[in-house]
Formats: sequence, structure tokens, C-alpha cells
Amino acid sequence: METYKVLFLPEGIEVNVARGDSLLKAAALAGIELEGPCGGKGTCGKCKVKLVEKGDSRWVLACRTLVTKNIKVEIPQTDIQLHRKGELENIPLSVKLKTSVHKQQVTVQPPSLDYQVSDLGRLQQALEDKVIPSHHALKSLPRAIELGQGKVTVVLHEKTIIAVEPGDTTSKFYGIAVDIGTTTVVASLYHLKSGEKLGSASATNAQNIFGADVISRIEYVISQSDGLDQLQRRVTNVINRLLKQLCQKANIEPTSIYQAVVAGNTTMSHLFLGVDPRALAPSPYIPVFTQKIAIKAKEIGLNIAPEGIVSIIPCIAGYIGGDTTAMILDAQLKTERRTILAVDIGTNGEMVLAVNGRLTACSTAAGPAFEGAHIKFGMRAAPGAVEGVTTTPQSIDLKVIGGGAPKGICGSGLLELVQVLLDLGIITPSGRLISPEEGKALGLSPALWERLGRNADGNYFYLAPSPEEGGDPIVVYQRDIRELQLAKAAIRTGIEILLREEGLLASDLDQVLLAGAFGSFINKHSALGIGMLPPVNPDLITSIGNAAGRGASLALLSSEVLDEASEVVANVKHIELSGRADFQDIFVENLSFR
Amino acid sequence: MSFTEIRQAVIEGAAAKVKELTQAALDAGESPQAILNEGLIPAMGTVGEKFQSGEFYISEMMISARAMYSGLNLVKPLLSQQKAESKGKAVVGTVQGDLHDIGKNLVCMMMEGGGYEVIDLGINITPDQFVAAIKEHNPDFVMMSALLTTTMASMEKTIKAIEAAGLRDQVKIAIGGAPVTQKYADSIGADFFASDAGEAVSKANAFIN
Repeated sequence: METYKVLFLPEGIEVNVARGDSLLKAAALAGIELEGPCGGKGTCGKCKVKLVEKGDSRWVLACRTLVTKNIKVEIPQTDIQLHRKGELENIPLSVKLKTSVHKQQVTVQPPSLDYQVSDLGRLQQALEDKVIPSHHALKSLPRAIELGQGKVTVVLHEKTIIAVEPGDTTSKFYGIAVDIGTTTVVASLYHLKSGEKLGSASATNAQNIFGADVISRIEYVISQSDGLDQLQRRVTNVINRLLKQLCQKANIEPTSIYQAVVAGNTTMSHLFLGVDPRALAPSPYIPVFTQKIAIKAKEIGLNIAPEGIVSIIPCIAGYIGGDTTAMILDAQLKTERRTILAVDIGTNGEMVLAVNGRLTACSTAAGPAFEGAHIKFGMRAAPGAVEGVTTTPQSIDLKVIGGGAPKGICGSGLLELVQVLLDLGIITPSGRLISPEEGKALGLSPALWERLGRNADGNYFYLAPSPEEGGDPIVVYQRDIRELQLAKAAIRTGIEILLREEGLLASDLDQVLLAGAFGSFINKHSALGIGMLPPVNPDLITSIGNAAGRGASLALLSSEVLDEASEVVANVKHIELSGRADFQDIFVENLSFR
Repeated sequence: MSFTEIRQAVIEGAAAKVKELTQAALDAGESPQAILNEGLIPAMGTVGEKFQSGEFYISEMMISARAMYSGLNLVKPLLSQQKAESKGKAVVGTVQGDLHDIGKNLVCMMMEGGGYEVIDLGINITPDQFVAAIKEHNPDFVMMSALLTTTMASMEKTIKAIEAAGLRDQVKIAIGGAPVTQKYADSIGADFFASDAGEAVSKANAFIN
């Protein structure tokens, strides 16, 4: 089979690629993170790279360009992502430390002719418990006793010895909590003896080259015979990289990590375990599992102690996963006496309504508009993204991440822009972008109405010139506004139906919690202004950061919280929106901004 | 009589006004066929165009469609009394495993507004159910909708089932939905693909004429 060399700049990484493979696949081989929200179909335009040939260069779509000779490819620097979810404020956890895995140091009595008890028997006597060893522990037992001269440390999980080490290694005892988001993965390292957090790291979920949303990834499983395997390995590799980073920084061995607690949405949980999620896509959306699962790290290739226990936080339904369960645990919604709405606007949109501890939940396909996909100049939050908009006496001001020239607009920026334009009358309540003539007639300043225009792609509102010479200027199209309408209508409808189910109104809410990266960075006034959230006092809206990650951490530090997770899942009423007769009318009504 | 006022009221989505004007037209002796062909149908054609240009969105289409129905519901019983022929008949449904219906509902509304008789099968329709519907209703068109790439595959299965039942030549098969493309339509042997409800009507019209 012919292979060619593809050199990626500026990183300077070279890979050998088979003839006919796409540049997107080559980038994945090189470990370069490229966006592929449309799953490589060539429709979103987000995987653009520059082909450099003999001093000439041209932009191509990485997913559509096949390798047929040695080439040099330049990766646009926009693709270095900010991991907003990883930056979320570190609110300290308060929980009583009671780990599911324990380490105990004991002294095994030496044998003799009067005491011809086996190594395992003497260990059980020292532990005063007939615990059973794993195969790995059994094999390490004689050497551990010999090296420790009788003094050994056992690692216990429930009634099993998962490892035996010589001497006293009780303080070499670590655990990780992992939040596997569809877009971003965050891992946190804890010292399980003290409960101290040693560090946190985040990275893009590398499954994203197969698509930004769970459906495209499920489609990949269906269409590729080794698709499930590829997806499982991709996410595990990302977690292992984060682990390596965290361990190096904390100066510990990855094999002294004995427990991992993982929170992810239902699809992510399935893919992480290599369990086929395809029945989740069509109605009636059936997962293979929702219950709490515990497996050994070696079974899925996670680089912690091979016998280390990996616990998956139980899911609620096909589209309400362990990440939502973790959010419920973190926000302590079961013990809350007030009426609280918790919304996680991630790549999907899950929400939970707690009324005096009684929980109902639903999920809506909010769509990728909040992530920048399907928006012509949309991008994820990275340097160059317009993340905010303010009005000036004659015009508008754009706030750009990193402060430089704009390259595109991210979800929070789009939300704020639309709210500002609604207030100015440039977008009508039904979502229509007005014409320049209408703008002039409204009495808007030229600096504003001259931004309105129309081209082959439809009506637009101009934001800024192209960052590249001769490139297309950055504009927001009518179509982009419609995408946002779909996304916000979905969220608003989910919320309204939950309230309806409980016979409540928005005015009955005591608090609205926004979880997830997007929830922390959006302007809540914009969210209210465009009608994504029902009318509530802005003071009642709080961002709670990465609640899923914190919930996973709580479950790591306390086996009681992990057990509680199963309780929570058994007691949440799941509202399946697709079965409801009222959904369509409410959704269509909520398409309007005001 | 020019039906400009009725057309305008439909486009504006003023349901009560459409009902009032339609009744007034009937009382004045206007034929139900004329009200339909010169009032309601052209109005929905304009609505379709405005959707394509971006001026109207789903909400406006639905509101106009509802206004259209308030007139159509007065005219329809009179048309069937006169045994007036509809332009054609269409059987419409969302494919197996898929519960999304807004797009399908818009297609039904626009097709009715376009003068067609529409049988809305609903959502999650299996290939066998489509075949049974063809046998029962004898339609000119079978229109399938899917919103997910994963349920789209049911479209191919349905076409094969229709072929196996020996009914393929009797109907024109149309497909639509967010992930559906002309390329896909060609690859599975559909007769046409429509990117929105308005296009469904205009392409259906092209086949009828």
C-alpha cells in the first residue's frame, strides 16, 4: 500500500498516510485537534487547513481533501481551543471522605511448622476478614510479603483485594474524577487519603472529528465496522493523556491511582465502555445500560492501576446521562426544599426541576448553535471569537477573546449579539433580520443600518472585516439567527413542559442554576432577553460551573454519594418530550424571540 | 372578484379574517373552486416563497397555514359535495424510528394549501405501513420525512418494500428532512427531494402538470 508523508505546521509533526486517506484522518493520526462538527461530510466548513505547495498556498477542507502525494499542511491557529469548561471556578467540595476503595496496612505473621497457614490465609487473619484476592493480587502476594518482611498494604474494594504492595504504601493512594463531555473532557486528580485535590486538566474530546453531536458519533458506530472501537480508544487516549499530565505535575505514579469515577451523558458512557449505543438513535431510544457500572481499568485501557475500579455514574435515560445525575448530586437537589431549575446547556440540553426534593427531568436537542456549528462564522470559544457585544451611542462594540481582530463568533457572543439587535429593532420579535431600507426608516444611525445587506447566502448583519486578505467579511446571516431560534426554542420548551408537569409557573421558581461551560459564560440578561429562559428575576440565576465534574468528584470521595446516585436515578421522573402532544405547539410558539 | 384580500389575510396569518372573507365570498356566490385556486392556493405559494427567502420561518408558515385552514374548512365540504377533483393525493409520514413531525406537518399543510388531498400517516411509520397506505388510498405521491441520519436509512427500506409489493410505478416518491440531500435521494431511487415544504408543493406540481 502506497503511503505519503504529510507534514503539519507549525507543530512540525510528520505522519505517513495511506493513499486516498483524508487530511482530517491524517491530522487525527498526528494528534492534531481539528474540528469536525459535521462528522467529515464537508458541510460545516470548520476543518479548513492550508495546503502549502511550491510557495503557493490554498485553503481546503481537511475532510474532503485526499492525500495523493507528499504534502505540507498549515493548521490555522484558531484551532487551538480554549477549554472553557476546564477553567471554571474551583468551588471547594465539602463531603465526608469515605472512599469506595481502601488501603490498609497490615503485618502478616511469619509461618512456621506450628503455623503452616498459606500466605493468603495469614493475610486474611491479619485483616480479620475473609477477603478474596483478585488474580493480580494473588500473583503479587508472595513477593510483597517477602519484600515487606511481613508488612504489606492491601488495596480493598468491597470484599476483594485488588492489589497487594510491600511495606506501607497507604499514602500512595489516588483517585480521579472524569467528566466526559461530548465536546470537552475534564479530569481531576485527588489524594484519596486526605481528600485533597491535586490538579485538574482538560482537553477536547477527540471523538469530535467524527461529529460534534452524539447522533453523528452513533452514526459512525453504525457505518464503520470498527467505529465503536475507534471511538472508545479516542476518548480513552484523551483521558490517558490528561492522566499523564496530572501525574507528572503531582509527581505520582499512575499506578497508584486505584479508582476512577466517570460522569458522561448516556452516549458518552456507552462509548467509553465500548458498549454499542446504536439503539439510542431511533425511537424508543433504548440504552444498553443506565445503571451504575464498575469495571477494572485494564478492561478498557485506562492507564491507572490495572485492577483499579472504574465506576460509571448511573444515567437517567437515553438522553439524560450520568453527567445530569452528577449535577443533581452536586446541587443537592434531592435535599433542597425550594423550587429549583437546573439547566445544563452543553452540546445537548438537559434540565432538572426540583420541587421540594421531587425531581423531574427532560432533555432537548438544543443543537450545535451554542457551540458555533451550523453558524456560518461560528466558532468555539477561542482567541478571535466574538464573545460579547455592547451598544455604543451610534453603533456596536465587539468583545473578542484574546482582544485581537475577530475571526468568528462563539455561542455566547451570538446570544448577546441577537439580544442587542432585538433591542435595537434590527431583528424583529419573530426573528427576521430587517433590510437596510427598513433600518434607515427606523431612524437607526448609518453605522448600524449600513451593516445590513444581502448576498447569495441571504440577508446578513456585518460584524467585521475578514482577518485574511481577500477573505469573506465576518457577518451573521438570517439563517444563523434561525438556527439560534431553534436552539433557544428547544431549551425554553423543555423548561416550560417541566413546569407544566408540576403545575408551576416561572414565577414559582426560587432559583435557576446554569451548569456547564456555556452556562458559565453566557450573559444571563441575553438568555432572558431572547426568551431562552422564562421570565425570572436575573438575580435568581446562578452559574454553578462544571457541576457534572464536581458531582463525579463527590462520588469519588464518598461511596455514600456514589450510592446516592443510584437512588437519585431511580427517583427522577423522566419526561420524554418526543411523546408529548403539546410539544409542537409550545415549541413553535417559542421560536419567536419575544 | 379579486381574492387579494383573502390572499393577504392568509399571508398575514389572520385566521378570523380569512374565515370571515371566505364566508362572505361564498355568500356572494363565488365558487369554492375559485376561492381555493385564486385565493388560498396562491397565498400559500407566496408563503412558501417567503420561507425560501428567509422572510418567513416555521412559526409564520404555521400561522399562515392555520389561517388558510380557517378558509379551507369552509370550502372543502362544498368541494366534495360538488365532487370536485383535487389536484392529486399524497400520503405523508415520518419514517420508522423517527418521531420528528414539525417538518412533516408543514408539508401536509402546504400540500393541502396547494390543492392536494393529504393523508397524514403520522410518525414512526414502518415500510409495511407505507405500503398498506398506498394500497388503501391509491395516492399519486408518497412523501417521507426524517430528521436523523440514523433513521434516514428507513427511507431506502421503504422504497424497497414498495418495489417488492409491485407498487413502485404507481407512485412518485418524495423525501425530505434536515439530513436528506439530492444525492441521497438519487442513490436510493426516490423521484424527488424537497428542501422545504414549499418546494415539496412546487415539485409535486411539476409532476402533475
